Amino acid sequence: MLKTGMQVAAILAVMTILEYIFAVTVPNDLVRFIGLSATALTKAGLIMWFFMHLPRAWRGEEAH
Amino acid sequence: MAVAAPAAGHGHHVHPKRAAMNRVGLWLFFFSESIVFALLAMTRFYLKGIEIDKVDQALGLGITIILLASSVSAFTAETAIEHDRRTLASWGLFITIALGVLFAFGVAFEWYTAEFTKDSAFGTAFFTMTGMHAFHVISGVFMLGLVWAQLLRGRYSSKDHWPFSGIVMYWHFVDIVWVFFYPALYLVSTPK
Repeated sequence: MLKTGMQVAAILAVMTILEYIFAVTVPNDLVRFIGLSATALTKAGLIMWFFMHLPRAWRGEEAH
Repeated sequence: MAVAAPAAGHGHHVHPKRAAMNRVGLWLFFFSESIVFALLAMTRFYLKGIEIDKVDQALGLGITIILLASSVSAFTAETAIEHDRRTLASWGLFITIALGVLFAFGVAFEWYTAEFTKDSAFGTAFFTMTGMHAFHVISGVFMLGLVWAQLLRGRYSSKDHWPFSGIVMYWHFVDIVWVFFYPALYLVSTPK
């Protein structure tokens, strides 16, 4: 589980750097806005799924 | 139907239904908080479109990486306590708190050095959004500190760690808010 978490963290770190590079290099406002929105949604989804354990949210047993 | 559940405490296993209710309640809290933060973001775009004033890009990226790293240490701490690795859990919480404090200082520095004021539309949005978020960071650091103190006193185990998990989830939520605020305030456009 910790290994998966570290892999997700690495993906998030790479996405954050790419997000910055994308924002400062893409001149078109609409493309930049859509790209940044898609990146933010993906990052939020990864955090909710892997770090906040969204799949366990409605399970009855204690989290493990 | 009433749920007969023992109170969470030393050596008590949280009743399965109570654990589920705790988690659903926390997710509902996150949902209500999300509406507040979404309204702030909408206000920012309503006031100023995608335009931004001059912000410190290096600082913005730096504090974003700091907050992301704090989510990783929080996740490590939670995973550690789920496996009764108390020393690793303690270090994970300590690093999370330290990174949270560092993030708050970064925001304070940004406020102190900002080249715009609260009198401009962007300044109003920037100070309100970062201020509201920083308030959540500071309250999260405070709660992490309480849980850390309890951990050091011997509380929490693999069978009893709901408050520990709850505050770690809250910390991840604060990180998610910044995932949206960072591009909205720093990246969505070039300074005009």
